[in-house]
Amino acid sequence: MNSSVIDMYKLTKSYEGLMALKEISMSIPQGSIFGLIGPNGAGKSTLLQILAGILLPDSGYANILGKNIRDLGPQIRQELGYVPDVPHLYPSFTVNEMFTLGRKLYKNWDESKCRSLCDYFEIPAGKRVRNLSRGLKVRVALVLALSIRPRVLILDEPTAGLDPVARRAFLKTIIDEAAGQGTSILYSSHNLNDLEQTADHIGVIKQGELLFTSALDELKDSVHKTQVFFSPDHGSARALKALPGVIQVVQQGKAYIITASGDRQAFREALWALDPALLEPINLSLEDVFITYMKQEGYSYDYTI
Amino acid sequence: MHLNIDTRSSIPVYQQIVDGIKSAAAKRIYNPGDRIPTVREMASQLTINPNTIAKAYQKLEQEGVIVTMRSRGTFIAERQNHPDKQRAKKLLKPSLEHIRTEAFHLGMEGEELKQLVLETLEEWEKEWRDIEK
Amino acid sequence: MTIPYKDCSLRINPGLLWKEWQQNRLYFLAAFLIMSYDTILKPLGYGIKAILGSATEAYAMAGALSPVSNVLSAGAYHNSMEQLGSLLCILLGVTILTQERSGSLNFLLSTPVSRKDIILAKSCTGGLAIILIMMVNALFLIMAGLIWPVDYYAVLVMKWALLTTAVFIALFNLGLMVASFTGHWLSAIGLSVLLANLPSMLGIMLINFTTIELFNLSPIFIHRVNMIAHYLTIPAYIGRDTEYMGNAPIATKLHPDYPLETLILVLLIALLLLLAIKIFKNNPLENNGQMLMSNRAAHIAVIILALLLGWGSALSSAGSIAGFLGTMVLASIIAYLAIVLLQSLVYYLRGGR
Repeated sequence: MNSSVIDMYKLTKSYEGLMALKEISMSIPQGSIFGLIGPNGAGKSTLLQILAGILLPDSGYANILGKNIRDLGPQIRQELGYVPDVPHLYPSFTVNEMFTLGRKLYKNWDESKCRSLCDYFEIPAGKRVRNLSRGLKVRVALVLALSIRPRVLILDEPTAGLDPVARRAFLKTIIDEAAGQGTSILYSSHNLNDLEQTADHIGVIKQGELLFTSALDELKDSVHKTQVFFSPDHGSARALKALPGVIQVVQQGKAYIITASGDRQAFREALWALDPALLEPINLSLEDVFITYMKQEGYSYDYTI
Repeated sequence: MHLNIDTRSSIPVYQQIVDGIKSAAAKRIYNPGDRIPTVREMASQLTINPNTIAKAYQKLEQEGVIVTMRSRGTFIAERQNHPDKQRAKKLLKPSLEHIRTEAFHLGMEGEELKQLVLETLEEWEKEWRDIEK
Repeated sequence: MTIPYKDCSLRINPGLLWKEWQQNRLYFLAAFLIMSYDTILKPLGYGIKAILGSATEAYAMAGALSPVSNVLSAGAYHNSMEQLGSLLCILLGVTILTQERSGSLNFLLSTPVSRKDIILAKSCTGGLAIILIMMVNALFLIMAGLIWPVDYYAVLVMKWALLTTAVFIALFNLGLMVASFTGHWLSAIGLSVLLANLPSMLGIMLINFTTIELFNLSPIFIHRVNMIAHYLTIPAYIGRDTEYMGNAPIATKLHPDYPLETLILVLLIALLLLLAIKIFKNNPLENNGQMLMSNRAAHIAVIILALLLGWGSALSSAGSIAGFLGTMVLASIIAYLAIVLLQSLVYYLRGGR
């Protein structure tokens, strides 16, 4: 877990004067499932496309498996699977012809894995790509990307076009790949629920800037939420706000809902000292953690994730 | 074995897995020497990040709940025959103190609390007997 | 610092070659059928009629082949091969790259092939297809010559096929090169046609320009410039008509110098291919390959320069106001496009920054 498979340093990219990426620096740890979060137009796709070799960065560099992408050496991509949000592939090819092309281009092509994944995803191998639904195209692209025995997998909004059943199968496949082959996965998503379940690290991008990266456990550990009641309400709001690590206090009827960061146990002890009638921890989803985190960092959480 | 994992819970997922396996072992759903799913199988079963599972297993191994034998799998560890009672006391005490504090604030103290502890232990023993039958 | 990746080999990726063939064979077939209408299909039609019907139809077939004979011996520009062939080859060169721009290029770039591999495979597939088309044509014409009375020789057919193949491959590579920095296929075709004819257009403009009294260039100099412009104009290698400049013939190509012209074309092909590779390597691709006009001041300067050139060229045809204005507008537009085109070329050759 110490070494990283992808290192980015001050990656910058602009489109006609508009900054799409501003000096992005981050690392994807070996063997991790890294979730990239951000609103539409934040630069997620641009970042992933640069890593996949499709776009060239204006400045900065990125190393994949220790090799600089700027060098354009195609061999970097032998072990790099990429699934875009809307895979185009070759419309006039049949699915089987796409796989033939994969076999011809990748030296580590795994035919049996390809066949079994096709069965698993119920891919019609004889159909032409142009007649496939978007969901099926995504699945074909995933099968292609997995059959090359990748060490790094880059997925751009992969679950967006899938129905719930297919989405679950997709996530399961990714998990199996990461667990079984030790493949490192970098994927962008709008869906915080998917990320919460599958990712171990996340990075947040907004308007081309990287806000923060964190291990998911640490992120979730760092913020907690508690609900307290005081039997005679002796104007405790002020006292609550003075507690260590408090980010926000919201009064809902008789209850106070406190969001705080830092050590849970110590905070609880401090709360008991105020003599509340009832005290209970409230579940905090990743989304809640996000909202508080963004507020803390001075960003308004004005978009839907 | 089925673990109920709530990714939205405020308890970190790896902690939920640690707790789940510990409780399964304590309830003797798993006995010493029983094989439990590998990290890979568990990740696939639960659709949970394998690193999270690995972290939970690491913690379980550190605590001596499970042992991993290379190439054979992961097993529930033998219970210690001559455990270090001093150490156990030291580790358990803060938890008991925590329970006492919570109980106090919920209006439960002394005999009532002792009664509750005994009841809980008895329930468990009944469950063991049911399993052994 | 890592050493920049540098790949100097000209190895063609067999997987890509397979892909290009798989993807474009129908286009090649269509091009073959259209181009061979006068050289194969029409004579074949007569031939079949001859077998089924009267023997005199055989002469009808020889007659059907006469446009070919004209081209081979005298230089008329009147058959499907040469009229449509040039355009079709540009079209093929443009299509083979721009069809990827609708999305599949993203897939291709994410696979372990370099941008050079991509261009090389495309150029190679197109070249092979054109060679195949021309070989079938040449063989048919030679066989037809053996069976029916025609007024050409097999050696002439082979020379003609060689030169025409070189012209077509050069035009294919020109289309490919232009498509490597223009996104939309229509603009790529327009620019390719313009670029193909640009040298001779510029030659004409230069001559018109020099008729202003201010310049006193020697006729020999003008003639040389025109010859160079002519040799740089790829489609001019096909036409066997004498080209006139005013009243003076500038290029008499009734008996073309086949070895020299083929050699020049081969060099042109190599140059175009290298340019295409270099440009495509540097193309950041995200603008979908727009034409480049970096800032307003530069744009205005280009427009003024184009108008000046247009005004200069139009002076010679100052017979009527309408003629003057017409020539000036046309010449200005050509000059403008030429400058923008050259500017984009330089931009991408310098590395897109």
